[in-house]
Amino acid sequence: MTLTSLTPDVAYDPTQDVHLQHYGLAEQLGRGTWLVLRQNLLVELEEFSAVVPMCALGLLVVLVMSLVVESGSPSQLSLAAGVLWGGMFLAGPVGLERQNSGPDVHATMTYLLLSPLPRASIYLGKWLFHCLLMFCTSGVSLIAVAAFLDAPVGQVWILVSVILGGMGFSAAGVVVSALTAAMKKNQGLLAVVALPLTLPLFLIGMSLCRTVWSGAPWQSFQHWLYLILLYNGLSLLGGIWATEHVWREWQ
Amino acid sequence: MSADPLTLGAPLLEVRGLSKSYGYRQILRGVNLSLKIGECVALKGENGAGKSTLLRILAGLSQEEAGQIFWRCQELNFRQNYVRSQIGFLGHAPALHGALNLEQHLGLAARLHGIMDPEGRVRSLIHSAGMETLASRPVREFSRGMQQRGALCRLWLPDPRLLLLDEPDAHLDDKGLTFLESLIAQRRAAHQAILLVTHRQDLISRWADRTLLLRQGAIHITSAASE
Repeated sequence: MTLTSLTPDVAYDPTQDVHLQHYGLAEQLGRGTWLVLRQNLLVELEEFSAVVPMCALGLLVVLVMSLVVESGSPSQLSLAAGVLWGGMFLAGPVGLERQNSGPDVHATMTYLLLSPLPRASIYLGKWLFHCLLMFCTSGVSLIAVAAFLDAPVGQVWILVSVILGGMGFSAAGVVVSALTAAMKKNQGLLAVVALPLTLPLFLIGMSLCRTVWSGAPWQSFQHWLYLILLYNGLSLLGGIWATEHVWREWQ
Repeated sequence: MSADPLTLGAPLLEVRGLSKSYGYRQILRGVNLSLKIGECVALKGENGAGKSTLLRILAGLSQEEAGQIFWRCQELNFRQNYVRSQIGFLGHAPALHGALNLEQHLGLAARLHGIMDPEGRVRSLIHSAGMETLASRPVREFSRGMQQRGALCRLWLPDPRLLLLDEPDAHLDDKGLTFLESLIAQRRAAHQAILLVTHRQDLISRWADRTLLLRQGAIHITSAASE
């Protein structure tokens, strides 16, 4: 719609000393994602407020759960799969909570929403940052599972599944976390809401690891990998779509 | 910024029938206002009258329920990112992360806005705010007034066409107020528009061309700023 009834009077040349570069949508998305990720990394490098508690919790969960696994039992590796994914998924919400709550984070988010960048890039930047946190936590959990339960964690498909699992958890978790932050709800609600959303990923990942450690061929676990990829794709697309609505009303 | 055909006195922002409620509480009931290029307008009203809500809607942080907003005679669409680079908003909180320093904040903002020579622009703003010695200290070590000055620096960084200032004088000491005044004078000289919320009549008289009074969710009175 255009207003035509209003007419200008005095002409002037708006000489500006600030020159802005203009980018295409794809470039805006890429730049915005990188800048949001960079900002989160800067804050984390100053405070280490997310990665340290996440890794510590991941290690603690693996340690405590390992205590109840009988050493040398035939089901040891099967249980190790549950311990590994349990450690990752219980530590994950800590990073989401640190990344999306508190007055500092709220302040930063307000400025990002005022900035000329696609809102999808805010989501993608936060997602990538949480992926990095999950990779660190997964690394600690893998080492702990190898140390306490003698699990052969160096196998390629184990590493691939853990990396993809971390990405999927982050994709779903960042949306839930953004939702609770936008609603100004207690982030304690986060774990309750995130759990049912990420439970399928937890079960798939656990089944995949158990199958790989049982020595089964690729054909017997490839469908689990495809399911993780499907989960990740749907979560990412859903996240990009949902955050546009979640952040429309920012208090 | 490219030299687009902006004209002094031409309409920049036009709001028609804007309404907003939170739950059952109607905050804005059909607000109408207009702002021309180069104009500074003060918005007054009692606490809870809806001034901040109106500014937040105009900044794209909140969604109106009814009404239309026009930006340079075109219906405003916040999905168009360039619109957000032309509207600067300063709310009650300075929106700075305590762990980062001022240089980091301004550097990030400069890159978000795609400013060419971001380092040069950041340096010149920090210098004009007289904050060189503070620039590398985490913002959490700043007083509230210093944070406000930092937020003002960031607001001016992309040189927005419209400034939405919600009590920008809050927490500022005399030095800070002088800085704010000089920025407003510069922006007015560059024919940029300002919509200002403040309770201080002396500032309104000095800075604003006219005053709007928001009462019971609607603009009731428009008058000369000195009145």
